Amino acid sequence: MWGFMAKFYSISIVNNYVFILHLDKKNDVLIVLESFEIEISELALFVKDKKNLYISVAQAFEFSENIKVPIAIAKSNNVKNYLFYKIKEANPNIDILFNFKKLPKQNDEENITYSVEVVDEKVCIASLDFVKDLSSIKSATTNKFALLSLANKCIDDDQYICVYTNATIVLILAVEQKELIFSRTISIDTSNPQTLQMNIAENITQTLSYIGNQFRDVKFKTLALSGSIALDDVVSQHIAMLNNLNISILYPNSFVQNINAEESQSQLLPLGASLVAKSNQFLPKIILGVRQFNFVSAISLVLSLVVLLVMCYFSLNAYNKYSDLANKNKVLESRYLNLLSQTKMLSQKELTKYINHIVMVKKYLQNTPIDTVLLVKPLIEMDKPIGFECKNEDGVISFKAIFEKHFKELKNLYKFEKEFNKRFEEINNIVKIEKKITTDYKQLIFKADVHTLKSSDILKTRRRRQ
Amino acid sequence: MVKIAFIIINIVLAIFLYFSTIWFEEEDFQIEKLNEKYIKNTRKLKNISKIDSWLHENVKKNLKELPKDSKVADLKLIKFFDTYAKKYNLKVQKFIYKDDLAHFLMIKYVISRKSYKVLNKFLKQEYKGGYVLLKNFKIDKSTLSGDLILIQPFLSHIIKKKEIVDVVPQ
Repeated sequence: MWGFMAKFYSISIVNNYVFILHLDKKNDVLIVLESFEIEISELALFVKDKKNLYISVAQAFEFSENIKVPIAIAKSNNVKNYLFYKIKEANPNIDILFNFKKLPKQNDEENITYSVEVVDEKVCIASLDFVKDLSSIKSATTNKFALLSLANKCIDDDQYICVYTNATIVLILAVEQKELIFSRTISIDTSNPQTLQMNIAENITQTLSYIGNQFRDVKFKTLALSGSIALDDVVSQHIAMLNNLNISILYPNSFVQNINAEESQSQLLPLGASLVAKSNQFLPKIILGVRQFNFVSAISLVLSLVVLLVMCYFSLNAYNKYSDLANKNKVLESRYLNLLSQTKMLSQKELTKYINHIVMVKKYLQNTPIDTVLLVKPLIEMDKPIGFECKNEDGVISFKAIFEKHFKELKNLYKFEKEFNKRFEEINNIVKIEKKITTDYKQLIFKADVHTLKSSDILKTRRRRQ
Repeated sequence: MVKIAFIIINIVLAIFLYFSTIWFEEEDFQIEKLNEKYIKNTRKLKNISKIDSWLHENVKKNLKELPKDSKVADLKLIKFFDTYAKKYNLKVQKFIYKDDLAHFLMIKYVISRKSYKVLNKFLKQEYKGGYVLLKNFKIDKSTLSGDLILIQPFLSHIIKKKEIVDVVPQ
């Protein structure tokens, strides 16, 4: 129920007195850090700036009612809406807050009976007006539910009656299977202090008798006394004499530390207020609204922080990139300006002279017959040609070379011819040229004509070599 | 209210950072463009330097000796012909003709292969301030013959843009 929580304050208002416990919780054990009893006029100042408040109050307008809901209405939300409609129908002029429980025993096959506890929302808000920051209220309920929560924690029996007294207030609960089936709050007349104890005992006895008559089918075995009555032997004995119930005292020593028996009886309601389940709370819509607002604003804050962090990340990346580029820009600019100042610029006139000369050289001197001679140099090195003709026609060069060599031995002719053909093929791999070999083997004379296929091939070859 | 204030501050900061990121990106784009321009221009300047030194090494010395007058150019060609006409059996094949860049004189030559000295000199013959272009040649058993063109470059101020692109080293 507590979940993760810091130390907290549990506050119960009974008449004009406020009982306050400052509590901590460790391993399902409540540790009382401080306890206070103050007047209600001091409460607003006390709770100022304090967080985590568990509050129970005696509501001026509260009532219990059993309402039958048709069995066809099954869903919890639909049941709640139906009950709201029924309560509102009976109390059209008040804003209601209610909680509901299915009664343990059902006698009707067509309907389900719910026990409904109703408070006036406006009165409830008014009773909490001592708290300025509504978001600090973690739980708000009535005193009877605070007592019920504590009693359920202390008593193992399924059916029991619990009586709590404080000064002139008597609170009586009848419980079946841990659910409240009856409650009554009695304010004792204090006009005659001498008869106060007897009045209390009488009222309790009458109520017990009423409960016994009203709930005949419920076998109550235990009567738990709590509050000032637990410390008053006279009243206790009087009640015990008139009832067959086992009398016991509510003493939460098993799960509360740092509080003595006497003090615990005066602080039972704040202890119970800290134990109230959600289904037994009465939280006005305004508190739920504040909670929702706080929840949404907390989520929004986290989201906005996440967005901010993401944007910081992207912005930082963008800045780093910008910074790198700006530095690079400075380096490039300085390199450019430095080079610009060092580079000699020719005038247009001077540049024209250079260009014209280059164009002229390219146009007239690019293709020379010497290139062609160099092309067939490997063959010329073997034997000087007896005839060589070279033409430059519009920059494209063609040639024709005639080779003729006399031999004394066929072997040498054979070797020469092999070598000639090999070198020719090597040249032919670069430029397509043609050869015509007309060797006279009878006279041992090597004869060959080598010439270009087409003049354009020479041009292609030259480009490749360049 | 503190939470709301923080949320508003966070959102305002996030919006500011968003726009600053966009601003940085836009600036990056501009700087990148500028950097590309600097790199391109720097490369151009390096090329200009390279071209300048190439021109200085390969072309400048040739330009010093070029005639500025058309008549001087013609006379230089005629002088060369007269000087070597007997030695290399020169005959005018096509008299002086010109274009925007140079003056030309086409000459026919016939040299005996027996006179090795003359042949050797002819092959090494230079034309000071111009060029000798062997248009064609024919070697047979006794002679080396063919046409040559004397090229006399001439200082011209006419530029042909298309040709510039072809000849300047890139």
